[in-house]
Amino acid sequence: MPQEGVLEGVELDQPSTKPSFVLTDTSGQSFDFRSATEGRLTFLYFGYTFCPDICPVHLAQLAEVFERLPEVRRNSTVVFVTVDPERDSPAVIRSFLDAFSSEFVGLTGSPMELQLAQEAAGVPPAVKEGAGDDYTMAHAGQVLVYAPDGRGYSVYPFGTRQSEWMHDLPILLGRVEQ
Amino acid sequence: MKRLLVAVVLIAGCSSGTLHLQDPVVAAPAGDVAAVYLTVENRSDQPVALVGVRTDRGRAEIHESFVEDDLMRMRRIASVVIEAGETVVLEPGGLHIMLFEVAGLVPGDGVNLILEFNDGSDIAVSAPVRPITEVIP
Repeated sequence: MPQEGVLEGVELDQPSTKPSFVLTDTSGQSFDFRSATEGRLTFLYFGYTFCPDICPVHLAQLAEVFERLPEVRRNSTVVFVTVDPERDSPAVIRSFLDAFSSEFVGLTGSPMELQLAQEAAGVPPAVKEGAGDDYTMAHAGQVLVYAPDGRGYSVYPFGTRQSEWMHDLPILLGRVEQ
Repeated sequence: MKRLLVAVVLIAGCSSGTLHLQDPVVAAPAGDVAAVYLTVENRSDQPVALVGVRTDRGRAEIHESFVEDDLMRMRRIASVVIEAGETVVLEPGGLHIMLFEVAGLVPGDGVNLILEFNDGSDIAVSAPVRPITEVIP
């Protein structure tokens, strides 16, 4: 597994540290993000299911890349955190994620818990826009990725292609605690 | 009767000879909403605006995704102007037709749409549903 190489994602000036927060998964169990994903290649994405144009793309791409990189899939955890707990019940999140992979983890929490999780991850917290049933959520569009060593080296904005994931994930998987 | 009306509208749309719709596609939804993408070419010497969309599945609005203050945002817009001789592409991360209440649409299905333009033309188009990863490789 290569450890080095120039990443095609947006490389961070300084590696980040995997954030710590506790939310609730789609089966109602408490999910401690940092400890539950320790030693895993970890993907963290804040989104919402009432989002046709952006949110499903990252998840669909990851699911397809995992089909082609089984070793990456076996050692990865994908965590989708809703920023729209009003619409996204655990059942709604589960159904949404199952369209991509039953292995993807879905998390929710109180508005305050979700805001703290976004702050811990270093993304600007999502903001509700509009009123009525068709309100939208302005939210961070990038996928945060943490190597098995617990560090984030790069982020993946909307527009990332499968070829870029295919290139970077084996490199990131090789970055383990020395 | 409905089918006949659509056929008549389709002929009317094509007979204008100035607006051309290409590559319509629906990205398969994972939830209740989906996005439609397509290309609109205006071969006339006048600007024309897409002002509405009717659909046989759920309901449709014209939307735009954009980035502001580091956040991805989406808003409904009233119209999309296509300048004379220009082409506008509705594509992921930008302009799209948002479909509501379309849970259960799967690749292989199709959605019939009628695009309404401010010059009075209505153009019917059938958009196939395809996996998201085929729409955005």
